[in-house]
Amino acid sequence: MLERISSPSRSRKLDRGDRALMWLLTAVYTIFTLVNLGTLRFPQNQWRGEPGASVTIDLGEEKEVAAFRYNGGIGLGEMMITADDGSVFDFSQVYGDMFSWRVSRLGFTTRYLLLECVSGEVVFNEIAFADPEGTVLKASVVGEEGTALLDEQDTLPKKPSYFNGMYFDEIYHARTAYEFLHTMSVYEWTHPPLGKELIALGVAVFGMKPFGWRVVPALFGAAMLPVLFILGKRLFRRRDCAFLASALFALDTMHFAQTRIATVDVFVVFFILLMYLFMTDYLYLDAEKAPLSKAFLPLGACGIAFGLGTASKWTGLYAGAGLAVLFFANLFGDIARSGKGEESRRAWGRAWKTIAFCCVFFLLIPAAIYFLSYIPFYRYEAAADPGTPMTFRRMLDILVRQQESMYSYHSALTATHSSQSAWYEWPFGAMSVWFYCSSNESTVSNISTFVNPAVCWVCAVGTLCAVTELLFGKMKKDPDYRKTALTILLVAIAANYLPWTLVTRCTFQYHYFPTMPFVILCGVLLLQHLEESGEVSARVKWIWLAFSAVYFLLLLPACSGITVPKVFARFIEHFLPAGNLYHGVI
Amino acid sequence: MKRALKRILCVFAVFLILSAGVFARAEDMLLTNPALEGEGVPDGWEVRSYLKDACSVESDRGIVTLISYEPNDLRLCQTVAVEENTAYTLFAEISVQNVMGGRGATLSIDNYSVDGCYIYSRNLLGSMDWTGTELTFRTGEGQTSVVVALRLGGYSELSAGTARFRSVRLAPAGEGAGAVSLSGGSSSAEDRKTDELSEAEKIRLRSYLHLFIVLAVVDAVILIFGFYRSRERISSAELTAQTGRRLFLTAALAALALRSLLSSIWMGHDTDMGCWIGWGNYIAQNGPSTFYTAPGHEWYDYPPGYMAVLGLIARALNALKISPTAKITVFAYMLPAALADIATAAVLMRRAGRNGFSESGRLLLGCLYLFNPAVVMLSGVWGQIDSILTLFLLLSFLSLIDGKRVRAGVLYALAVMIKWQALIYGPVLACFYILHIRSKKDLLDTAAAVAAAFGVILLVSLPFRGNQSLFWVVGKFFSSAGGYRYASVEAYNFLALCGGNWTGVDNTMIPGVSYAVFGTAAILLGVTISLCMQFFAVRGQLMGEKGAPDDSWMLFLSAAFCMYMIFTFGQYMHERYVFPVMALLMMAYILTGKEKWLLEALMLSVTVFLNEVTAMYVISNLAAAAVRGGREHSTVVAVCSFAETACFLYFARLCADALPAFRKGEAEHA
Repeated sequence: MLERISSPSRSRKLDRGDRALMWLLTAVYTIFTLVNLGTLRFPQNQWRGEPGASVTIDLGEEKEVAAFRYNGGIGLGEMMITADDGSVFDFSQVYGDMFSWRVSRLGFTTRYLLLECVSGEVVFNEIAFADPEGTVLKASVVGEEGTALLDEQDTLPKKPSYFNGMYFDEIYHARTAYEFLHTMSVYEWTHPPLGKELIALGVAVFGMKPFGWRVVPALFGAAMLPVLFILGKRLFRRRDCAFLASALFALDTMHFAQTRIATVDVFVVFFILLMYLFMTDYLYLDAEKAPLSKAFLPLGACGIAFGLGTASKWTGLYAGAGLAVLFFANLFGDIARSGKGEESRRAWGRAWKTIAFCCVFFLLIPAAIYFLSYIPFYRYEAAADPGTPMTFRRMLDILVRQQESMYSYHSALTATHSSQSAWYEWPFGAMSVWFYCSSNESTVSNISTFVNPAVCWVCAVGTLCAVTELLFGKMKKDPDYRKTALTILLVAIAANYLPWTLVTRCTFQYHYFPTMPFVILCGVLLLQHLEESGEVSARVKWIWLAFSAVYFLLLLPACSGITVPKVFARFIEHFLPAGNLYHGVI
Repeated sequence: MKRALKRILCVFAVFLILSAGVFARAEDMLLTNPALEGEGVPDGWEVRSYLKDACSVESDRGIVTLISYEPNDLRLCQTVAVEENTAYTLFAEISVQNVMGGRGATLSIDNYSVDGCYIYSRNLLGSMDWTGTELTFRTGEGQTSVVVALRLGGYSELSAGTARFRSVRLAPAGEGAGAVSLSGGSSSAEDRKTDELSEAEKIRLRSYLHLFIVLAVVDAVILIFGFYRSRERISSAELTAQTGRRLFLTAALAALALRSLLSSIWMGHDTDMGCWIGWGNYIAQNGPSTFYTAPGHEWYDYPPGYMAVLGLIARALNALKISPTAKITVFAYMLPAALADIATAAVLMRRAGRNGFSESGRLLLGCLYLFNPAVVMLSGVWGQIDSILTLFLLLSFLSLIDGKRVRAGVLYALAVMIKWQALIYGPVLACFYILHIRSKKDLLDTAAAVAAAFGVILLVSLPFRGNQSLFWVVGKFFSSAGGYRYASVEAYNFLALCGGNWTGVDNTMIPGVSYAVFGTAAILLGVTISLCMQFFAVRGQLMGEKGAPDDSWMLFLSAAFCMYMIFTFGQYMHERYVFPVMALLMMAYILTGKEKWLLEALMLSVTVFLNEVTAMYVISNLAAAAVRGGREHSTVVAVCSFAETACFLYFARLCADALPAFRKGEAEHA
């Protein structure tokens, strides 16, 4: 088996065996990540109540009502629940309640319940009433108004959890995806909209259900693996090393947690990986002096990926700065090497053509992508004010206004957060970001985003070692392609990581996510270097991979929401070095 | 007329006297007995504390001493009548000794029981000489009294140790800015937080501890993965002796420049630098004779050797009219340690040259010491003097293996007079003296060495004797040895790994065994093993075997082992005690050519670096309240302790392999 993975081929192009291995890994991971991702049984029909709207619920006979369970929509308002004896429960719908199951305690003995909106707007996907034992009471709506409240009782979960509702920042991003689809006012505007539009794809296909809003991020998370595999193959020219890098990435807990939640980081990381893959392809083709028509293909693709990344999150710009460094270093290197005379003229000619091409593909097309990504905003504004025509000028105004708001939000953010961490804490993941936790006396279900020490700590040290190796001149005997690979990786790491040293707002572990794949590649590159110089046995990489897999499985309960006994969670928290995964609740 | 004039003058005089009394009372009336007179608790003052036991308050000659043996909030309080809406300044001089944890020693307004309000002055932690401290506050609307407190610890911020207060004054303050408002009777949640750090600042301060781990990782990678793996290539670079000398000179100047730069940025460890400057000035002004005996100086626990140096530095600075607060002053006090680093590097390089190292190899070794972050940190950032101790120990040991017994004795005595920790190496040194007596001359030299050592100690201690007995220095040693009764004092070793950092030595480490018992057993074992190592090294010679190797280098290895093991498993350890082991191991490498000792020295330097940085940081006034005992601190303690213990165990294995007896066994087995 290991021999098959360790193919003797030293080509940067993928062969059949590479492809088979790559897709096998991707398939296994995709199945793994889609399991327990989120439910598809989720109420879809909504009742929307404005002041004065009321619904009467009939429980069939007088019963003790101890709990009001509800699954809210996007609404902010107040409602009164009145029992037969006139006793009233005042209910407030607040932010964060949407698209997840919540409970309010009641203390009624009644047959009828009158739900009456008193202010704002209350929106429910489904509601239910339970007796003191927790049993859901059979209920029906009196009259036509509000039938949507009780029409999907089979979607009621035994217990509210991440699986059947929104958690962490999904209340911003997944909510906004829904708003895009329904041409509603956009709630989340602190990041460009493309990521949320991609989330909306899943919602459009599967409905506004946990699985629906998480499936596209999860698939993008899985799609990172073949991209990383191909990039690994280009850089290492070895199947086993490419496989090792992508498998280690698959075994990273941050990649796992961060791609199973409907937020936008996954998209920018995916597009960043694509950018560097295409830029690597271009650099190799350019070095081989391939015809421009051939070299421009990956370069153009790189520009498009840059546009898509930046339209997902501004951190794509940081990665873009790295691309610029690589591109111009290559360009000026070519010109400098070309000497004088005819060859120089040819080099300059090629350079000007390439620059002209880049102006289109790295400036105009990304700008167009960015502009188009704001279509949901234009649609909403057009719907809100149908009298004013939606001209290009008006669209541009909307776009500029959004950019100003976004910039002032991020630059003026001074809040602190219990999960925040500084840039120098990320490589060794000292503080996880706490997404979700639910526990009872004996069990706990938890989702935190943190790096797998077996992968990322090792690779962080590996990256430092690789830099040291380079500085001490111990890579002189290595083949040129490895030096190029190391340069690409170090530039990518610097571009994605160093800007954070200057950011003054509170930052989080997941801001390291775009840097992490390159750190993993760098760690694998060092291992390859040590292996080929005979300092490390070929078996080490498989031992490392196995150890990472075991560590990943041990840490899985802390990043996946799987319910485990508290004793096991305590073992993870106190005995496995990984970071503050349960934030002291166990 | 004359009579009338006399009468007028008399009336005027009486008026003057009375009004002087009234003016005098105006100040006295604020505080009763500000001179802190009276036996035990000063008259007019009242003791309050969170824990009633394990604390004491004593006054003597105008100095009141608050001692908490356990973490506590101990206050000497007095209720003072005040005017409403008025600013006052409370002033006192505070000196602290081993104050650990919590808020430390402060001046405070302790109105918590009255209106829930309390405020503090700047806090003093660790050990620090007399420092003028003041707290300016403004009384609230309708407020007629405040409770003034000389305080050791704080509300929910308990501290242990000894704090002394003197020259207490309370006076109305001018209308300048900076007065902390008291809100007399009303809720004062915001006021109470006035002097506390914001949450964002606390998060930042705590996160630095993680940065230290990253720095240690970078340090390890550069030293071990970089320099150690490239040692052969670097050593093979061809250099002439002259170029080598020039490069070393450049390196030495660069090392000095680096240290001066760092000292101007960090200004040294606030407590230690405060002590050096205060002590130096005292000796320069009052002479050395009352240095250890003046009131409030009882806790001065350094031996007199380096105190003399401090006095000289202070005199030189006074002569040059340099202010004690100038940046150059800090560097001047750090200079001896920096010079000692250069001298140690020179000693290492010189011996390496004699043992056949190439010019570039010698230079690499010198630079590995000079620019080692653990060494730079201690003499350039902290301003401690373990570098000087290291130099004297190294010189003493080298003299001994070269057969210069008397010189070795003198140098060792000087080392003891620099820092008491030199005594830990005593048994190893004594054993070497004894085991290498081969002739009557050796015996006589040994006796002369002992006499010379005692002579040096006597000579150095004499100017500081004052009215004490001739052998006062022995008593000083014993009184300082009992200073810190903790399993570990920020020494990240096996005991700290087991939870012993700042834990009393009598606490249980493992069921049935206290830290003291475990530590003492480990110390005895460490000394025994190191003595055995020397015995094994000379066994062949003692038994008269022909061609038995001269393993006198084992002195360095056994001394390193002894200190390293005591540091790892012994109690009472401070973070820097293991520092000289680095140089000893480098010397073992030079003498044997075995690279494993160099590797071990570099590994040790990484853990020492992390330990030093963290210890200096968590004891600093700014960070102490926010980071001590927190999650980040625990993480560094765990990481560093684990690494330190692992490095020691690896070292112990290497030592076992190195013993001739074992080597012989291996050969026979083969």
